[in-house]
Amino acid sequence: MKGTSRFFLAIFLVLICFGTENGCHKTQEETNRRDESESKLSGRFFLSIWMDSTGGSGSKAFLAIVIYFEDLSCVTCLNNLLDLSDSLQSNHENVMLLVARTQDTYVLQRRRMEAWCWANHLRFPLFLVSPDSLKQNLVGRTSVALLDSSGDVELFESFPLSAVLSKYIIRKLRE
Amino acid sequence: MRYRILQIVLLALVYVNLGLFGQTDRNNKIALTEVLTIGDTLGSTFSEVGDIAIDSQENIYVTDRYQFAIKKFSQNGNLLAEYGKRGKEVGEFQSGPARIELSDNSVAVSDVGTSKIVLLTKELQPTGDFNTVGPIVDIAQFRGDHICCSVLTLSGDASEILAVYSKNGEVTKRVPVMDPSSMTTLQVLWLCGDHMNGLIAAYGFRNRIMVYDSSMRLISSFRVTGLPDEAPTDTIAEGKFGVVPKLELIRAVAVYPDSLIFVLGGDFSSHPSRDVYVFDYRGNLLETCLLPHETGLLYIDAKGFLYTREHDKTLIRKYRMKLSNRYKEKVVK
Repeated sequence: MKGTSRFFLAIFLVLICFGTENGCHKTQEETNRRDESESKLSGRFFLSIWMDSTGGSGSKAFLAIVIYFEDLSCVTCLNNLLDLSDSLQSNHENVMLLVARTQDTYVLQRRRMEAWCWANHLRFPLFLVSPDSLKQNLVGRTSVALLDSSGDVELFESFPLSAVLSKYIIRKLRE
Repeated sequence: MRYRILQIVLLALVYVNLGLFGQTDRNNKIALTEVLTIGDTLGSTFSEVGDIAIDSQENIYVTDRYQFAIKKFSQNGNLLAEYGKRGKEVGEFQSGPARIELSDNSVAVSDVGTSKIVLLTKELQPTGDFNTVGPIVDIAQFRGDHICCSVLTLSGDASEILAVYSKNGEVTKRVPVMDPSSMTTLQVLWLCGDHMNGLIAAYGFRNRIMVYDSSMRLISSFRVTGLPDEAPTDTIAEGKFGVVPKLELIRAVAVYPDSLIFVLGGDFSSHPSRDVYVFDYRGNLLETCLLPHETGLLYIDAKGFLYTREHDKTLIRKYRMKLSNRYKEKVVK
């Protein structure tokens, strides 16, 4: 996708979030759909990246934050993500960021995302992942996946998250 | 012998003619000489240049959304100051610095995707902020306590697209625009102030350029011949937010100090992001020139230097421009 196309998409997302009062809040219907798809979401995808790349034992709960950068033009989603990340700093060894690849070169996108993470105090392991493989695993938006100590997906949700959900994630990672 | 002399004379005539035509052709071109580059293709200095502005000392101000930073460079490219802070307090950005504009002693920077404008000193110390009526597309003509802003209207009210704001966020003047789209997503309007305190506004997805005087009265309006009237769109939902343009018609607009309008062509130009259409203030096309590299923005400072953003938005180039004398006749005083 070209840069301008990303811009158009970003505009659309901004407007959706700005223009409709509950633009970024999920409806009951969406939540139901999510519940259905959650059962199909495999923890193996996240677990394999986590264990291959970080050498993690997989014996503790961990959180994968998936980022489609253009989604973050939605300021509500961005603030929600950054607020959650701020709260997770003390548990940084249990969190990883998976960023969907764009058409930028790998080196450039990696530099951009590292700069963005640094500027926003996100000190988690960062991986660039093909959007195709994310979508094959039913992750089409900026989301979180919480995996329990056995590697099963305990919770999978798109941003913005509710306060209750955020607190739940923080509590689970601190256990 | 006579045949030989005739041959030499004919050759001399051909050479002289070629020389004259060549000279004429060169006069039609805008000659660019690169004088400065800041950044590199690897993104070591800038992750993504958002916008640039130049002050009267030729200092260069650059926004970078990924680094969450505004950087100030000297005219030689040395970093002088840097600022950027995330937050919701005064002077802080929620999602990162985007468009930038200078006044005599202040800097105004919009926040990506929001209606917020942060105000800073020239040394990049925050002094305040205010909000517009919708997500900001572009800002320009920052004079004293007032600044022009184009926004995406959430209400659909076209009179809100372009307005002059005071530093406390009050709309002091609504500026009428021509042919506004009812679709909010097609209301993207690029702005550029000129040295006579006038304003140039160009739609990103519609073929329409508007020229305003210092009182924000429309003095002329024109289109780029050869480009379509409107960008093609995809309809993805009902309502004014449900249309997404597929391609961009006009990517940027800038003004040369002698009152020439430079319009950077988008996806419909022969050379997207490189073709620059040069108009006078009446809308007469004087020339189309080709930039050496693709750019996403154009900026021309008070001395006539051209600045571009190249190589995946990772570097800034400054060019000395040499215009032919015939442009002087076209200048509107």
